[in-house]
Amino acid sequence: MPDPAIDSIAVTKDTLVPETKKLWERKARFAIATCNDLGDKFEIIYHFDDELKVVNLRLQFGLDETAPSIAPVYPAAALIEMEMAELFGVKIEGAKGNFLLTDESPKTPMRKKKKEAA
Amino acid sequence: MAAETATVDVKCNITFGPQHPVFPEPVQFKLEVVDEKVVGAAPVLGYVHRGIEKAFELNDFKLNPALSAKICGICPSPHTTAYCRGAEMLLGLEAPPRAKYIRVIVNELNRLHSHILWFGLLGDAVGFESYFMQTWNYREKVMDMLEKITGHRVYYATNGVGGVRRDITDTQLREIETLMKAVEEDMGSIADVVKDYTVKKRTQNVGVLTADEALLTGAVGPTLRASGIAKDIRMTGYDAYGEVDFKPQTADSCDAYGRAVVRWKEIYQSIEIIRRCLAQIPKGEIMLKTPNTPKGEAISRTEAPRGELFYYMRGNGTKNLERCKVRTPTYANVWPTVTMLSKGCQIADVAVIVLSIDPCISCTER
Amino acid sequence: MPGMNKIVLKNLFKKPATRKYPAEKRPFFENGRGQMVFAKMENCIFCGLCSKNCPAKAITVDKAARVNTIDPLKCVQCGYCADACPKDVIIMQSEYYPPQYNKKVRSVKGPAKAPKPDAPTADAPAAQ
Repeated sequence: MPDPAIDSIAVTKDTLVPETKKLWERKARFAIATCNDLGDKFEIIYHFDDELKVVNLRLQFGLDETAPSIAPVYPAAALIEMEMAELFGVKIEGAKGNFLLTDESPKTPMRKKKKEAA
Repeated sequence: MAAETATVDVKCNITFGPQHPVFPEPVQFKLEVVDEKVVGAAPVLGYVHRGIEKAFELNDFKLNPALSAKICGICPSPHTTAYCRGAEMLLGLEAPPRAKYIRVIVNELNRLHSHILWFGLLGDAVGFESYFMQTWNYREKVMDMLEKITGHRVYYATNGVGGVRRDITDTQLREIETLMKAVEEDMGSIADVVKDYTVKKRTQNVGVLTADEALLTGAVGPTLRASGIAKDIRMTGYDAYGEVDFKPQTADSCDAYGRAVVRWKEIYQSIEIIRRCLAQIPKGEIMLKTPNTPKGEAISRTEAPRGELFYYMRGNGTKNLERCKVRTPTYANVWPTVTMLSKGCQIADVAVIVLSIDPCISCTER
Repeated sequence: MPGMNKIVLKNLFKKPATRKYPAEKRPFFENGRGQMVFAKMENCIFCGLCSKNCPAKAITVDKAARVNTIDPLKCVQCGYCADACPKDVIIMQSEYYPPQYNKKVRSVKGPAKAPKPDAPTADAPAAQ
């Protein structure tokens, strides 16, 4: 995590949906989810707005693992999960299909290029 | 015994867009229609995707405001403000006070011309072409003022990392005051037209989004405030908004007419905010010298004319950013639109519903 | 439309909101950002700061041949080059770039390299 980092609650693949349900009960609004390519793993940060303060849930997982989806709790998250699956190649449950790119576009363009060892 | 017959609802699929005279930008909605009622909708985006988030990582981070202003043509000022505030947070700095007031003045002038543009599009959606042309003529005065202050009618590149690049002279401050009187007079002369019988019939009880639905589908901006919820990012007091006594404007009717009322009130509120800024603007420098090493993570949010604009930025100590995520207000308003369309509206109301959230598709797809 | 009738009647007796272009051209405001021009090439030292600060990569600086090139179709008129130039060679003008039929770039030639001042000679008086 870069230093200084924003305030966030670290979640795992099992605790993501229970934490999201707690925010749903407080009527927090889902803002967006950001995906970071950390080289050896992916990091997804879910941003929520609770009474004008930003609450972040940070999830890190390996390149080949499948992350759970929060669309059963917040249906509006389905859009951003489709976009992350398409642009980064992240595996999220239930997210597939073309959203912004076409069949002829480059695949997963947002991944960082691997630097070759000198 | 009479034979029993069963009726089956036959669903038709009608595509609305991507080229439609009422949409300013290409977006497609696949509608499921039974007789004349719409029962389901699916958005299809991707016609103007330009890959701007990747382009943010390729340039020096101080040159990126020129790119972030290109994401949207109607609201470049909130984009550059959000980027520059995020970059200043990564460097641990704050812009000087005079720069903050200049940013607020340009943001509010931007909001003025954007809302006047929206009233013109509303007239176009219901077929009222002369209202469309009259409002767009009034908008020219605001665009001329923005050209005098920033140098370009549409592409205001005044914000830089560490402040603003161009100052406002005292003559220009007096001209802004004269402009405010002219805008008040112009909007007053067409106030009766917004309350016209035909416009009300086309927009009242069309596109209803209750308060609970608005919160849980993630609506932002006037779409949220027309359902009675008083949430606006300017309440957090960023830049100089903490010193101008700001209160969010709401309406209670939860429909497209309520969104028109909210934008009408925001026009007059922007005029008031600009007048307070003109009275309180301090003297001083407008740009700081900044180092070249952004480090850490930052979130900066501003209130664009369409809603909350969200920037997440991440730096790793070099002069290229590692990640810059942009979430524009229309992206958050796509799901509320689908909710509104699926409730059983007429086909003729689809244009009014989609235009009532003020869609900016080039913002959505970046 | 009772509200609109008043405005329609007023517009009948006002002059039109449109301009008879190209007979009548719109005057540009001063300090506008319409196009960039290498105005004072005699001061240019070919440091390349304008090219490094261009977000659209529209400027090419050739130090060996003493030639600067601007591609007007890539330029976004942001003005970062004019701010970065240490010798005030570049200015922003209010009039827009004229339209072009083909993708031509504009090149301007700068001054030749100034000769170095004379090196101190070996038999200069030494402090004694």
